[in-house]
Amino acid sequence: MNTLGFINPLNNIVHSGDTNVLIDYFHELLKHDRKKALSLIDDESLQFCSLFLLKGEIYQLNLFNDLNQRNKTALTIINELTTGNKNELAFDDLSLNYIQIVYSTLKWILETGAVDDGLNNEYDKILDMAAIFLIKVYRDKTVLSCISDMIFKRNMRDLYFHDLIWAFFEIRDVESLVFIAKRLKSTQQKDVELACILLNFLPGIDINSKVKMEDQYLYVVKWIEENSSFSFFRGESFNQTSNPIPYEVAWEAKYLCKKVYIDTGKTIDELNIYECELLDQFNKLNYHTKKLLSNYSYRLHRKNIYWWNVWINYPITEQIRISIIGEL
Amino acid sequence: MIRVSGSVIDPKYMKSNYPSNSIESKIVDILYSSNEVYEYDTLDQLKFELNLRANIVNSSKELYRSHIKFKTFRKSICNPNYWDRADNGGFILREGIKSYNAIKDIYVNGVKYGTECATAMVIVYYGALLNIFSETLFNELFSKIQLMNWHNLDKNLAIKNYENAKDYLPGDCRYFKNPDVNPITPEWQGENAIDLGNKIYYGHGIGIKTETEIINALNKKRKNGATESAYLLNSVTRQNYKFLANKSKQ
Repeated sequence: MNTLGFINPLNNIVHSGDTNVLIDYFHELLKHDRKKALSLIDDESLQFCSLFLLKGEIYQLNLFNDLNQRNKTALTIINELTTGNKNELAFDDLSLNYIQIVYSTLKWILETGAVDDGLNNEYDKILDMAAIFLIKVYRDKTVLSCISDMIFKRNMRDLYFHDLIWAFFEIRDVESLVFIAKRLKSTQQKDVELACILLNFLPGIDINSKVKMEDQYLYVVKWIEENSSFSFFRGESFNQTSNPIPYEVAWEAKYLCKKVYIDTGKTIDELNIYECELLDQFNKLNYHTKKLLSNYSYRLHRKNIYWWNVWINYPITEQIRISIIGEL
Repeated sequence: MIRVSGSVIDPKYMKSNYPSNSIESKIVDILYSSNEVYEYDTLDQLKFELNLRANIVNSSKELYRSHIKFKTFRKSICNPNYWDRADNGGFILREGIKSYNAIKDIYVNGVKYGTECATAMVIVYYGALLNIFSETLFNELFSKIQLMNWHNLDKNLAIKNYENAKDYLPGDCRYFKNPDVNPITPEWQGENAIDLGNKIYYGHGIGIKTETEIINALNKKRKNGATESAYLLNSVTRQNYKFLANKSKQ
């Protein structure tokens, strides 16, 4: 339905479940009122599934050139994905306008098409590609919720979701983990199981733990708040390992309370000589001591930056001693 | 260095059990010359690892020769006499079918199968164990098999991923990452590959190639304007040989 309350009959027929009814309706309408048929297809309320199911008729009846830019772009994308044939663009198409048209079309495909996810392999693959391009190429975070919903719905139905998971993590934003974390509180066991697998890299997340899922969820939220500025993207996926680690904390950066680039884990600010010397000593410590110092440093920095400044200028052995007392 | 029950093992003695230039012999050389100490409870445990690694290498070559196809999960195929194809593209062992026969069928009728590279690695691990465990033991340990990349791995396969290794050995599974992969072909985001020794690897979909050749193959699957080459990660996937050695005595 669009903002004026118009309900597109093509969408309604799609959701009645019979593709043949849709095709017959469209043919009849085209015969009696071609203008109306085309306006229904071009209408902003049309959902992607309706266009997808009518694509055969559109080509058969030579309607492609009568469609609006959104539909032409969507059909061109479908054609490239299903046939592997690349479309040669006219020079005029290679414009900034075209880049925006592709973006808005992909967004329309995903956001209106998600409701019919699971239709068939071809359809689902197009949704996967829309998700991948929106995230990897257009860096659109607004679709993360939609993609997350699709992942968990597909998991429920045992459908293929690995490309969607890959796309989801490719946003390279630690805060996106909250969409997965919410599923820890789900009443559906399969949601909880998948959320635990995807968040397995966080200490304390364990489906077999005695800690309640509600508390594990809060733990994730706290972990994100504390570590998002210091985490970098490792990019592991199910293609690589059974327990992918998408993000990792850069302990050096957390110790110095310096934000890092998400792609490399290197600090955004340049380090001064003192900080470099500190890190030389820091890097000689074992993992647990590094973690202890980094966590203490962050919490102290948040609590009182003046005290932190005093503490960070102590010899590292003294920093460790104070951290241990602080943790007790 | 190699230690068995606390005592250092003479590599010449170990190597005398195997033909020169064999996989086992090469592995002994690497273990012995390493700065890392490789501890084994018994000599049989060490021999088991050598045997299993050699079988992983052979299994890789056999799977390659089976002509199993490279297919994305959406287009995967399997022999319906032994496997049910799940909606997610994985393969589930059919009810009433013995896993030993089903895994063997992949190697015998490879043309009837098509899947992605990670699933092929799991098939290699099962294939190697076919030659080590008795049929009865194999069927008992792996009564239900789901083949779907690294998902739903049977705990009796004892597979684990390590971020770094002091040494890389034939039979290890390595990963070539392709960070600038073309988004249209996410299946080429990386390639799992078995180290076959002699600086060559088996990667399903690419074949038996050197490191450079695999990287070049992945680089052809990158997006327009790519700037970052594919590369081999330091991580390694291995089986827990001690666990499996104990199982073999069942």
